[in-house]
Amino acid sequence: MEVLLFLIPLSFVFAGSGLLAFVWATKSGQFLDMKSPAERLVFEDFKDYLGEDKK
Amino acid sequence: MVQVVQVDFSQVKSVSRCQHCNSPVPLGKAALPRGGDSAAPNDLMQFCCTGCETIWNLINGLGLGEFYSRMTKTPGVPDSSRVVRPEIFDLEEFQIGFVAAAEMPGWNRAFLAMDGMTCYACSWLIHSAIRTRFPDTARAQINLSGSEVVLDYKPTEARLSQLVQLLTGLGFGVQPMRGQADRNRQRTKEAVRIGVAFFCFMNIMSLAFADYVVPKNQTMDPIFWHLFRVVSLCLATASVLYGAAPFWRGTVVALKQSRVSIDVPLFIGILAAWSWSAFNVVRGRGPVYFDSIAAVVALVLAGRFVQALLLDRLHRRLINIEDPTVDFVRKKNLDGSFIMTGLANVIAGDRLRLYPGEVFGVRTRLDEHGEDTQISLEQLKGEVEWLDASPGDEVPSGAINGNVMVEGLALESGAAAFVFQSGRMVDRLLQDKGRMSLASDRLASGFFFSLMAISIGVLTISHWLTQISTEDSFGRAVALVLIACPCAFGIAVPLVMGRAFYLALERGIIFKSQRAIEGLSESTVWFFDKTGTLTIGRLNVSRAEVLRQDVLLRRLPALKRACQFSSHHASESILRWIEESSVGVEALDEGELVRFSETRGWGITAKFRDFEMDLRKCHEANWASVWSVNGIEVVRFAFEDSLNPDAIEVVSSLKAQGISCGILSGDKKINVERFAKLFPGAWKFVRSGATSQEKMTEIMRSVEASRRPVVMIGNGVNDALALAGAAVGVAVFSASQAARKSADVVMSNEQLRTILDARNISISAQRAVMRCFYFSISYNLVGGALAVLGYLTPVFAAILMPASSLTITAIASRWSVLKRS
Repeated sequence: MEVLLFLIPLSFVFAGSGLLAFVWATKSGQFLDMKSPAERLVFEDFKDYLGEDKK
Repeated sequence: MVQVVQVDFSQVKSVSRCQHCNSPVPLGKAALPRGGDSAAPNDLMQFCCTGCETIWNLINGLGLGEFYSRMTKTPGVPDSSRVVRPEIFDLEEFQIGFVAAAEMPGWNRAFLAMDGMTCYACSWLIHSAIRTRFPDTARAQINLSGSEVVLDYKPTEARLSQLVQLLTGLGFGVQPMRGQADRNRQRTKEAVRIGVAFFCFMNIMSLAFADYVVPKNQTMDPIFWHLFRVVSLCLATASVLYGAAPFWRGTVVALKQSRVSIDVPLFIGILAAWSWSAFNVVRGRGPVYFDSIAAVVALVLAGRFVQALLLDRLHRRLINIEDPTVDFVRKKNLDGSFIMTGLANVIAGDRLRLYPGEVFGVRTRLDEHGEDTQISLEQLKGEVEWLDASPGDEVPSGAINGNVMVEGLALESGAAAFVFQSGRMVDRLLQDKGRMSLASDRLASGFFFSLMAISIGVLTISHWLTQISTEDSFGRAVALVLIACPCAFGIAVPLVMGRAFYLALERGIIFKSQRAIEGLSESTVWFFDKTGTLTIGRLNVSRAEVLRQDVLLRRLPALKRACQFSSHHASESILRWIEESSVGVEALDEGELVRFSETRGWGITAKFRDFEMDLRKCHEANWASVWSVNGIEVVRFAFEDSLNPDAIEVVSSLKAQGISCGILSGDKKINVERFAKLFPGAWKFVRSGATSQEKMTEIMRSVEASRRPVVMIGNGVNDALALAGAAVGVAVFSASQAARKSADVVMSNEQLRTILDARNISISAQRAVMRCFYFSISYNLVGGALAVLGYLTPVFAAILMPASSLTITAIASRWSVLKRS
């Protein structure tokens, strides 16, 4: 049973990192537009859509 | 065969033909100056619609303007649409709310709503056009799902108006999206909050589950039991402090304004449950309700988020039909050029310029050396006739300019103008309305507090009678608060209302708030404006007396041809009359039009090769115009604003539902009375010649008399106050910007009968809310009775709590499913 004392905090770490990922994705505006990013890919010059630093 | 007519346009007094398709430009349609605001009146270019303007720009942009001299056939006329002047986008006061400094220093960011941007080809076009024309000075981020473009540009090198011009040139409608940056930030915050709330909820549930499944005769390992409770306390505290923050903020706001809001009982319930549970964790015994707290917080937040997203969609739809230029006028600068400026900056004596279709912001005296024009007071008085206005005439604030560019002197300051004053008053009325409690909030709070009062009474009595311990009775009280906590409303109301917003939007009805949905179903008195609401706000031939049948048949095509060249409302009505009449016009030969002239206040004269005709004012009583060929009178015409085809159906249907209807019109008594007779026995109340203020007073009087929400349906500037003052103001399709702004419901559907759909949707939504309410009452009564008697174990209460929320959610969406089918 004592293994629970290890497993429960571990599950919190996993769940917490999921939450952090969600917060990061939301804050970086990934849910603001669900349509365009998929379609940008078919543009020949889709790199233009990325910021200057990511080219 | 119909011949192609060659007409020297320089002979036509005012240009009233579309530059591209050569069809008549509707009265009140905007004209664009060829050389900016310094242009002379002759340089006005007019288009019947944005489509034609786009094609004209495209063709000329490619240097193929010769096309027009080669054109021998007129193309079809596309649907009309609004023209927005790009130069206004450069005004600092116009940019408020949608332009801000971008992250990159020296760059600005503008949020623009794009009308007509639907697929990736559109986004490619916009992106490529901006990259080609402004390679280093502008960049566009395109959001297809929201149909918006976020433009980053260097204001020192690229003007926003140039970018907007480029986008409108591509055929898209461009409108500012005010407050979009804030809205995006707000939604992001809410999404994060929901994420955290669900994280806490799920983890608490997984810990609480262990306690649920322990068999009755066994107990959990004390270490885990305590550990789970402490961890749950931490998670629930995060949920209460961060997740439930909107509830306690809402409570503070509601208490400050001393009104009822659903946040108050929600917050009391959550706080009571949390405090008692935390106390029990610290002392190491007694029940905890963390699972219920976390469930309520997460589900209510999610419900509200869905509603907020739908409201955003409605807002987005409203932007497309908005006229953002309405509060701006064109004023002469010291250097002689005209600049756009806010209405409030105008002082008496300023020189103003108006293009066709624009609204006179302030009372203006027309320039002595200018041209005759026509003005419409439709939005002010509800009269549809276009009136002649000559140089030197005084035009009231709120009138619409006809089809000539005019200049004039401001006779009052912008802040004193009717349009401005009325706008401020509307703002105040809307603010007051916004502070009123929602019906569903009152319902939920009343229910909560009465249940609380009853239970406290019962507890106190049972404490004395049954001698149970204080601690025990306190525990029961908390269980009761938790059960009575109207989470059902917190979840059900946003979901039902959100669904109602969506269903309405599908039918072209834009509800601006939940208040509008509630008010529409509760109302028993409806007031209608006449002109433009119950009528179509356009003159049609009501009677035509044919004096010479033979001449009529032979020369009708000539009349049609001549009317096409006139911009007068009578000619337009006669054109429609010819098209609707069954005479085979196209088969006849009208001969070649040699000369055409139009004199305002008199009529039109057209000379064909073999004969001459005129269409002028008729001096006989009861007739408005007369058409003569070679001096012989052929037909006399009378005009009338025609009835909206849906009007009778709408009014009789409302009457059948027990609603009292009334007319509130600014039109003359004789017109209104004749009109009211078209609906026998339908009107409880008919008022004519009412000013803006009087309309509002009537509404207020009716509210006092009936004590029920009053609905006002209108379209004009003169209806704005009444729309804002009524519990629910409905702006019909043809409504002015002022009316749209002050209304609670805006119709983007031309059919008046949609208003009946709006009422049906709001009644269904209210019924769905009531169903949830009945369920909640029975559930709470049973649960409350069990809790008071001590039969309801905390664990059972904790399981029932989310179960009730889920049932309510199911009921709320069940309504949606039924309604959809």
